[in-house]
Amino acid sequence: MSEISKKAYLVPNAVAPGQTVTIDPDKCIGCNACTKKCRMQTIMPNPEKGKPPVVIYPDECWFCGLCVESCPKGAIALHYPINQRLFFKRKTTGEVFRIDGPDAPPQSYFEPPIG
Amino acid sequence: MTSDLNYGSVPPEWPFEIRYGHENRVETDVLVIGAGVAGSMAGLIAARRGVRVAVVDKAPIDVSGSGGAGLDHYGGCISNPDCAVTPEEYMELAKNGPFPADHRMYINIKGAWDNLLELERLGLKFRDEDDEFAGAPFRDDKTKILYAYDYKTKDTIRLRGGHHIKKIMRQALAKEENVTLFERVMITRLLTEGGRPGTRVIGATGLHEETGEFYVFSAKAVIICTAGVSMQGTSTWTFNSEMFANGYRSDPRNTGDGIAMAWEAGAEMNSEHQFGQALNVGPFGWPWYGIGNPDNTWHGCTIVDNKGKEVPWVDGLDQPISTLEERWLPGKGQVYMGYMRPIPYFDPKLIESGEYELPFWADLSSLPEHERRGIWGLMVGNEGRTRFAIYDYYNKAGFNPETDMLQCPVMTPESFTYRRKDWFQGEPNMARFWKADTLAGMSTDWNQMTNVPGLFAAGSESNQGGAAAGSSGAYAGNRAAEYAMETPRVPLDEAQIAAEKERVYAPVRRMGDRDARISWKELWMGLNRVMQQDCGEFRTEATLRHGLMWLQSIREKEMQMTFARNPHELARVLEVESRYTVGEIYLHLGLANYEREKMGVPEDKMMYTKLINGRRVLTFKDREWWLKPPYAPTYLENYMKSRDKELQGRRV
Repeated sequence: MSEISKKAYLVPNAVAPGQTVTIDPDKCIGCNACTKKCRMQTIMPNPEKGKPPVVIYPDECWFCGLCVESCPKGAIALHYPINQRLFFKRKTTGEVFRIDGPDAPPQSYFEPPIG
Repeated sequence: MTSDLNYGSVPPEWPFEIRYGHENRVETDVLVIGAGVAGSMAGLIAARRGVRVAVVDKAPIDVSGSGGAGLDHYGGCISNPDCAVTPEEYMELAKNGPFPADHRMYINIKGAWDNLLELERLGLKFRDEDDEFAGAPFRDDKTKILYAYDYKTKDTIRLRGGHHIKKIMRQALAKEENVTLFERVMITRLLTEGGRPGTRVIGATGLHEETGEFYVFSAKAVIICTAGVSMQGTSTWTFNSEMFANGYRSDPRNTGDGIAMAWEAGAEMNSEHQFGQALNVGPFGWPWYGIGNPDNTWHGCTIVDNKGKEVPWVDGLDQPISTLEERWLPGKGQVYMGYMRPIPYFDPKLIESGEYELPFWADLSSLPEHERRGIWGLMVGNEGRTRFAIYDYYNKAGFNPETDMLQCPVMTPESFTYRRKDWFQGEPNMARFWKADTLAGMSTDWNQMTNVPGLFAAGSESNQGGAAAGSSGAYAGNRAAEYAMETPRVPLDEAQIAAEKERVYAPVRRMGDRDARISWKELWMGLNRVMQQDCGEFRTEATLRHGLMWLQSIREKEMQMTFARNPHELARVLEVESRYTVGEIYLHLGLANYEREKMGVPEDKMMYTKLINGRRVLTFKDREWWLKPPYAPTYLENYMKSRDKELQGRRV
């Protein structure tokens, strides 16, 4: 953990969920393709050209995932709010995992969707 | 969040040039409002008749509408050559179904197969060309069509690649030379002859949600394809200011704009079929189709309790069935399955006694490969909004349909026994006051035209949703084009435009006003409170009147204090203003029912309600008026007569 900053700001409360969509700044090329697919304007172009788009209205995200689809660099990930992450059970072992939980197993199913 | 741009810095500037008030005038023959599956097809087909078409959507058209994130099946594809029932037989059977069996349903199912073939020509590869499902019981090996739910009747076709349906439609529209596309433009009001309600609709105004520019459209015919509020009914009663979208099945931009503007233009609403309960629990549900619902998208999936005990199945008539195959066949004595599909029978007593240990689990892994891939790869892979939010997301989170079972939500015991209700996304296990009425939408005739001349409707706006929306869109596109060919243009009423411009920009004009402290979210919550109190589970004539008074009071005070700091917030405020009108429609329709009672109108009359100059006007028509004079006595005759000019190939 980095050193605790001595600076604090008067900022409005964060919305929840705060990170319905995240953009990996190391992968993003600032092409804004995702902003052109967002019906909610959850993702908007960065006023600074070439910089990653701004996830400005995460509270309105519909999770349509079309930003994920549009990204040529695979830089975008969706994140369910806590109240929508339920469980799955591995039949062979009886293990129970939660979607995005602490012990989630690695991906083992790689079939693409049909069509 | 700490890495966010706005932490301890000035907010980023709006990324587009602001042009509030700048006016664009557009002249067209046919104006299509809302370019989802219905509107896109309406625009395309109208343009092919040789008229100029403006297609407007408040979102980008390749993703807009409820089908913009995919469509996994074409329900009600009755006119496909292998369907075991004819459209005429279906109309009889549908009388007991959940949707109004009227001329609109006939238009939809009759044109369904042609519409699907049109989509195929445009590029939708819905057949199993790769033979991935060769030998599966839901596949026709000759046509390579994949059916869903009822493998005997074959009334529903799985849309392999249905995820791409809107991209395909957008491409087709862009290629059509008579079509001009307006994206991110939100229509705010219909313009009428002389600016009065009940006269001919001759155009509309709009707002660009990136630049804030103003649009004025002059048109000879207008088609509304904005999906009504039937799918979003609950948002009139409930709204969680955050986290509101993931629980919604339909497009969250479906805010009732179309219904509201049609009502204000004097269109009649049909209060005949209020389904009583929305299939939609709004912001409180689980992600749609991500909970193993065995009565719909996960149809046929084996369900076990927490100890692994399998839940037995019953057919569509609630008779026990024992084989896997019967889950996809009509029950004994059932002509076709329709919405009375086989389901697992969860005896509520066994849940209460603990004999079934909660939670239940949906076990895809126990199904044969073709059914598992049919559900997980084909349906969930293409269903609205699920390719990424469920299929891709769950796979990445480690879920494996070959080895894992997915948890089903805990619901009240009786909720497990319902068909096509709480199972859709998991009823939250608590009070349910948000389960609201749904509106049947505006009334249309055999030309899909409303009582307001020049105003047409298609798609779920007129109860014709899903993939089938394209069928009603094509039909309405043809009729609107014909109307535009025969009808002269009427000059717009400048006073009406000026008044609307004033209303549209009022929330941004208020910036800096110290009393402008109401956000669009608070305004929305105000509506919810009124509807919960005065139009809730228990309501009386007096509460409905009280509700109208309450909404009017908010309109005069808090709505005049609502601010918008950029075009996004401005569009949201205007959407919430539409929601207020929708709330008023519910209240008026409720009051109309009391009026009807007092007037002693016989039960066999259908009622249509409109508002003209603030006064409710009720119209009563005979049941099945669409098969009575001046119309012909059969569905087919009327259908062919309405399409007469189209089939003659007449062009301007």
